[in-house]
Amino acid sequence: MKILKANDGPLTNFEVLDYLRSRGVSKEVAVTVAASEYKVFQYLVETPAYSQTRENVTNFVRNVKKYDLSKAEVINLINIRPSLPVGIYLMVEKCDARLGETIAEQLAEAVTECLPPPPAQPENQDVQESDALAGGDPEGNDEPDEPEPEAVRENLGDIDEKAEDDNLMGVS
Amino acid sequence: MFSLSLVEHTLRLPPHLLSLPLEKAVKHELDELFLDKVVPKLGLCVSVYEIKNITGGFIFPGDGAPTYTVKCRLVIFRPFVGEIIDAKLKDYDENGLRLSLGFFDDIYVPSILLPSPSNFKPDPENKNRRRWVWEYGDANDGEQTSGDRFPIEEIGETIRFRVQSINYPSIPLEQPNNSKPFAPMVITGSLDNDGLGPISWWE
Repeated sequence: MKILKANDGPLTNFEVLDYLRSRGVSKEVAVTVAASEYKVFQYLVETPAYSQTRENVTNFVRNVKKYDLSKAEVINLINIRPSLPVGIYLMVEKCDARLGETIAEQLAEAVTECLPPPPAQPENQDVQESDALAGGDPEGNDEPDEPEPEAVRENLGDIDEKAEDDNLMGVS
Repeated sequence: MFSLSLVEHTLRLPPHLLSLPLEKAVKHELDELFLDKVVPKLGLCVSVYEIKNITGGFIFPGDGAPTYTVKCRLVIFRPFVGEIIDAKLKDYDENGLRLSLGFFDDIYVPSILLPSPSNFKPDPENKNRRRWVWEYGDANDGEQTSGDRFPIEEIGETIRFRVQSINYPSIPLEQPNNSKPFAPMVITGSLDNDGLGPISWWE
C-alpha cells in the first residue's frame, strides 16, 4: 500500500457525521455501515456536531475570518463549541497577545450565535452506553464479517448455476 | 480529529466476489482491509470515503483471482497535537487516567500531565478506593489551607483534554501472556490547562 497524500484535507466532526448520515446511518438504523463506523457515529452524536448544519459551519467560518485564527483553531472551535471565554483561551494560542479579553468574549458570543448548542444528554444513559461499548470492543472487529458472508453465499448459488465446468464445484 | 488520506493499494479480489459489480467487490475488500485498523504514521482508518479509480485487473499465472490497483480516499482518525477533544473516563489508577472515545480507547493521561497539584487520595465516601483530586490552592501559599478540592470521580464522566502526542509503537515480537493487548496507536493527553478536565469543573 502506498500513501499518496497523508493529509488530503482535515474534516470537522460535522463533516464526518454528515458523511455517515449520507451512508444511511441514524440512531435507529445501524446496518448500512460496519460496526466500527457505527461506533464513530455514536460518539459524534453526543458532540455539538450533531446539531450543526452545513450553513452553520460555513457561516461561522466566514464570521471568524476577521479574527485571523489558524485552521486548527477554527476546527477546534467548531468541534467543541466553547460557550465561555475560558474555552476560547484554551483553543487560541497566545490569546492575550493576539486577541485580548474583550475580543475573546466577542468570539465566544460569535460561537454561541452561529453554532447551535450540543444536544442535551441524559447522563445515566451515557454511562451505561459507554460501558457497553467498552465491553464490546474486542468483538468489534468480528461483527462486520457477519452480514457479509450471507450476501456472498447467496451469490455463490448464482455461480453454481452459471458454472459450465462441473468439476470445479463439488455439487451435483 | 479526522482527515482524509489518499491511498493507493494493490489488492487481490478473491474469486467468491467475482459475481458482484466491481466497485462493490472492491469496496468490500477495502473495508475488510482498512476499517478499524491503524496504519502507522497515518492513524486509525474509520471509513472508505470514496474510490477514485480502479485499474488493472491482471490475473497472475497460477492465481484464480484478479489483481487491481485502487486509488481511494479514507477517513482517518488522527488528531493533531494541540487539539482539544472530549472523551469519557474509562479507568484510572496511580499512573494516571485512561480515556475512551467509544471507537478508540488508548488515550492515556499520565499523572504528570494532570493539573498540578493533583493527588491520588483515598476516597472519603468509599474507603477501599482512591481517586484523583485536583487541589487548587493559592499559588503564593505553600500550604493549601484555602484551596478547593476538585475530584475526578466517575467512570464515564466526559473529560476535555489536549492532545500532547501520538505514538505508534512497533509491533512487539513476543508478548507475555498476561499483558495488555498491543495498542498500535497511543494518544497521550494533558489536562494541565485552564478549561481542561471534566467539563463539570468549568460550567
